[in-house]
Amino acid sequence: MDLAPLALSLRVAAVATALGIAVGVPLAWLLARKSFPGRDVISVLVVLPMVLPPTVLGYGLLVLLGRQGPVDPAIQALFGEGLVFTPAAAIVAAFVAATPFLIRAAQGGFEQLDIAYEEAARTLGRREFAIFLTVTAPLAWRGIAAGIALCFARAIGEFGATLMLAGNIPGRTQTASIAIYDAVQAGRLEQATSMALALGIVAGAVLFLLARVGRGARW
Amino acid sequence: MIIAVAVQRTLGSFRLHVAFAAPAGITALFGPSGSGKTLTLRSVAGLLRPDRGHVALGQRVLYDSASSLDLPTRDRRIGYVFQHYALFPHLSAAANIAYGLHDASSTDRSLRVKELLEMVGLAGFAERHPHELSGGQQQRVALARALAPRPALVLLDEPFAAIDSFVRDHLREQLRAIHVRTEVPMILVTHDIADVRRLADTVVLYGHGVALEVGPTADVLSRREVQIPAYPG
Repeated sequence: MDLAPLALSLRVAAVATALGIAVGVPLAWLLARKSFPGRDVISVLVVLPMVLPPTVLGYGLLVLLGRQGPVDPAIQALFGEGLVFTPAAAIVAAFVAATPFLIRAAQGGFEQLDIAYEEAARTLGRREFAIFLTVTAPLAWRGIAAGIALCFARAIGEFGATLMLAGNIPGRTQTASIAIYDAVQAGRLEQATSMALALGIVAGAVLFLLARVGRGARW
Repeated sequence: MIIAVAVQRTLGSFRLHVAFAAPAGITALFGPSGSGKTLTLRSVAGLLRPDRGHVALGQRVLYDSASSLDLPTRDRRIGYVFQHYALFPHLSAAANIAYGLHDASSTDRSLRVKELLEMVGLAGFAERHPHELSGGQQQRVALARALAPRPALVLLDEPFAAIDSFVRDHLREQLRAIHVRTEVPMILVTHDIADVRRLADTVVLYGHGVALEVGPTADVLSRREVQIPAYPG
């Protein structure tokens, strides 16, 4: 079995999840704790990728980030090449499709947390970022961990948006889910079966580990 | 030191409009539920921004709407014992108390934590987590945590409401003793007249969003004795 698609899927999902944490956790905290202009619009934009078909998502990204898109000149200037049909495109597609799941779960975790803990920390002279690291994040950890697991799961299974934006280039942008589709189309059912099983086992193992970490609350 | 509080705040149909000045010592905000006592406490701590007003501890102004001064909570040096204590559930009693001592060296920090645990009578409980402590013990850890950074004022929101009645008297005595020892002024919110009688040097009598009367406890109580009902919990 060719392991390249599986390795690419893992890499794409890991990077997309890391980006998802960096963007999603602070955004979830803002949505849970602050009221600011545009909050409702952002809430809708966060949920939208969860309800749109991935093909619509991928097409939207293609229009936005593709050759004729408004962001293309900036991408060209930064990286010297376009985004479409590159492994980075697979990461972008997975990130956009999967991060909303992280945001929703983490936001729920923050909203369930009694704000008295954060207020108590403030009366004790601590700064907001220190409070987030020492009080908010540990106490909302279950929600955040569940969000990370969901995000990774969604990212590793991403198909539609990835196909639209990154294409199906074996050895370059062909992720496991696309390789399975490709194998079925070509009638290589044995290959599709082994790849599907491998993807299931790997994704299951990662989720199992994440669930254990999420339960690792110390009280 | 005089604690001067004047705050106005409208929340929906409720209007808080109180003004009082109290000397150092223990001041009780006494009145029925929903009369604005906790809102007052939150305004003093900077957890609630009034629409307008003025809060000062002696010469130190914490909030003044006229000059747009609003010191953030972390800079006010005001300890707060929350009604349900808000002890950090993932931290031990010692770590809870040490939380506000982040600027101290680790030696100073552990000495201070030890001193406070002894002061509140919980020397052997340093490593217990909040869920392993009784209500009274949690209350004392919360008090120790509030006292740790040597605040200029300590606020206590219904400190005995969640405590079994047979240990309440003992805890009142202990609070009084800690006040005498630390000389930290305290403002406590209560709807229990026994707290006022046993603890308060000054009482602020609350009506619906207003301070009806302010003065030394003995004076206010003797004038008001007949009218003060036993507020239900």
